[in-house]
Amino acid sequence: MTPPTPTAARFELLFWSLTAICSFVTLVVLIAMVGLVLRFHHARDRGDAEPIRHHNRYEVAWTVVTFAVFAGMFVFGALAFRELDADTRETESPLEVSVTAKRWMWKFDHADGPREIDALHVPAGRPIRLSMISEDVIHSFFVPKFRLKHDVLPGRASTLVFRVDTPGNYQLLCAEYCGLDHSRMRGRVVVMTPDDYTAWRSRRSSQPEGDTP
Amino acid sequence: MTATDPPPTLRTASVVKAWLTTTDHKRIALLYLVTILGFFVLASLAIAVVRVELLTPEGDVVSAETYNRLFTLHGIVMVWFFLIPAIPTVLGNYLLPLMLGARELAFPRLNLASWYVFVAGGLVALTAMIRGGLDTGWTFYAPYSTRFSEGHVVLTVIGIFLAGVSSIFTGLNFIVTTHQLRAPGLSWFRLPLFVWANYATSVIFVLATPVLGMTLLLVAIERLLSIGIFDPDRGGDPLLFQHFFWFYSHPAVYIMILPGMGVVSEVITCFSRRVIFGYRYVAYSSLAIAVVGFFVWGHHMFVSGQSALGSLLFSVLSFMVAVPSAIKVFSWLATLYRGRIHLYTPMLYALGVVALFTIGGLTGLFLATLAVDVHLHDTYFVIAHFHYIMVGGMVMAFLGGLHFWWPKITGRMYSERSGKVAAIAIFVGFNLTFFPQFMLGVDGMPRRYHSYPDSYTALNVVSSCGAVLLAVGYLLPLVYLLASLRRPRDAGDNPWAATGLEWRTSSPPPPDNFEVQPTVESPAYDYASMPVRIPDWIPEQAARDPA
Repeated sequence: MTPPTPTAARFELLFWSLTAICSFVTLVVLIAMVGLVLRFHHARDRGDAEPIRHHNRYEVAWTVVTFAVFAGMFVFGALAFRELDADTRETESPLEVSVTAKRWMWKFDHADGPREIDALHVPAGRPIRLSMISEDVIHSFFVPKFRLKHDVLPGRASTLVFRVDTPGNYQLLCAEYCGLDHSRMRGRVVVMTPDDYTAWRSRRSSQPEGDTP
Repeated sequence: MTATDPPPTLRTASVVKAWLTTTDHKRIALLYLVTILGFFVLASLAIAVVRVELLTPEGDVVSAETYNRLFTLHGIVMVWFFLIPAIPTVLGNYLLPLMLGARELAFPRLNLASWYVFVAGGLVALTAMIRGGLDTGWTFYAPYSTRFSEGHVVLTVIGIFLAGVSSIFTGLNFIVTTHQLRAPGLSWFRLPLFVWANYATSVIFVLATPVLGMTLLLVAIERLLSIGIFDPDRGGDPLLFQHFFWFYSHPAVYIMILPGMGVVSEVITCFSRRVIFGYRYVAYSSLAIAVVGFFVWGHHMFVSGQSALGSLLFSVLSFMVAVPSAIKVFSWLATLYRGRIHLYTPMLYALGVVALFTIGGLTGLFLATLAVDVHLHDTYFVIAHFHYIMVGGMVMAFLGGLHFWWPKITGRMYSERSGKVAAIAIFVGFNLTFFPQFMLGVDGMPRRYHSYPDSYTALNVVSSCGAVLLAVGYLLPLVYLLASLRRPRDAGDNPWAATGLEWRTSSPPPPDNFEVQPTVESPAYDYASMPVRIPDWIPEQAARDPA
């Protein structure tokens, strides 16, 4: 399945690169361990070769290589994070939605129109800016398929900007533990084609409080 | 025993009194062992119910309220009443003076006091649990913990505060002992790496634990007196709580793993019959972890709304703290090279730790990578990651150390065959339980979910089944280690032909540890002067043993 958002696409690339590197390292460590245990098991005669106390060149080498690989991971993770951060601050003419989280529901107020509960309808292909605040404890707005989450705090607005390219129904979860019904504080983000979205908006303005798909 | 012995009942009373008033570090270690095992069993039972609940997507075994209280109990008891004290207060207490060639810790009565304070803290926390517990999670995030939670937050917080005081006592004692009571000739770079690891841990105990104590008191103050510190409705800041909490709780992760790394260094050298590869790198890496570990706390807050620049710095520092861990893994592997490897039970555990710690450490890099953490934060990926470190690393190392030093502590050898079976069951059961949780996290299943979307069912079932095998693996040592106590004390002073000073005295050691003050003439792990094979009587005894 193609990632539905640019953020998700960046995540997939990074995540699978990390997985490849880390799986490789894990395999090397495991194979080396098993190989060494078999080769140097006491039942096998290893001759009189003396153990090596230390070997500065190896020690420096694996320190430097580890350092370099980690630095690379950091840079790529940071670049992708910066794009996310830049989205949040610089996106032009996004669709504005206010989000209020309270135990245990999500309320959405579209800038000049409908209000909804536990469902957010948005058009595909257009940046959406959420201004989020909590009425009680800390919650976290999490759409797994978008690979995106941000905490929703009381007394302090958080902003999250995203753009979805693929229409569909996406699960919304609360990711920060918020008490009794934390695991039932779920909703959905309904991403529609621009035409469907316009139709939905006009339907909603004639019958303001219903929750239509 | 002479004819003047008191009658049996009186003797029982005096034995109990002797144990409860002892200042012998070895006896205090055993008091701690029994205490923390009790907490381990309690916290395990709580999570067993959680794993049963998670067999199905609906919340149908216990109510959401009970579920939340169970995982909170599991977290609080495991972290503060088992993992943090486990290796330092049991193996550290028992072995530190022996490894240093000392008669005692520097402050024997402070050591006993630490146990009493710990037990008091445990009893306060248990009282809170018995009266209904609390549902904040072990992280106590404000303002949930300070205003909304209806559980016994204040009582629990007092219990943890006391456990923290006990940690500080232990840390202080270890630091002074290591500085002051080393045997003649035992210079810093001749110390066993277990001592280095406990020293680094003690530094964290002393520097970080006060911050935890202060933070928890602030939670109690806000809750009781409605003074706004963390609650924005009262002029506080909830992120302030997270900064305080993780300033302690991330270093606390290293409190939990560093002593385990020390155990691994002792065991791998002994069962490879050779010196550790790169002693100084391994020793300094413990200190590096302890120091850099203080500056990475913000990686718990990448999606909390902290500044983007702050997140960048915390990310880069988190990668840096992983470098010394990698050095340790490479050094352990290099220690196997040209060794004469013996696969006894402690060695199986040590190799298991190296494998699982590698996975736990590398998955930590995913969480340190900013854009990846945005998705993985607060999902089961995090749960799997830290259980690979805490259980795969720390609990396995604790068990490995317990098996390694069991003949020293009790004078008896356990059934080697049962030991191997248990080690393998734990390794397999552990991976079955926690590997699926990585996949659940990547799929986006959040932690602390009583009910969950249907798509996560299959992996949860696998995880719960693995937990059964893991539980069986944990029960086995309880059985065969206790059974070994009925045997004669025939393990000898040094059954593994190991090099540390602790092996140069009788098993168990006399009250003053050594008949003659030992001196040290050679570096640690001088296996060149020891037999290249571990004497054969152990397998013979295991063959005789019906278990």
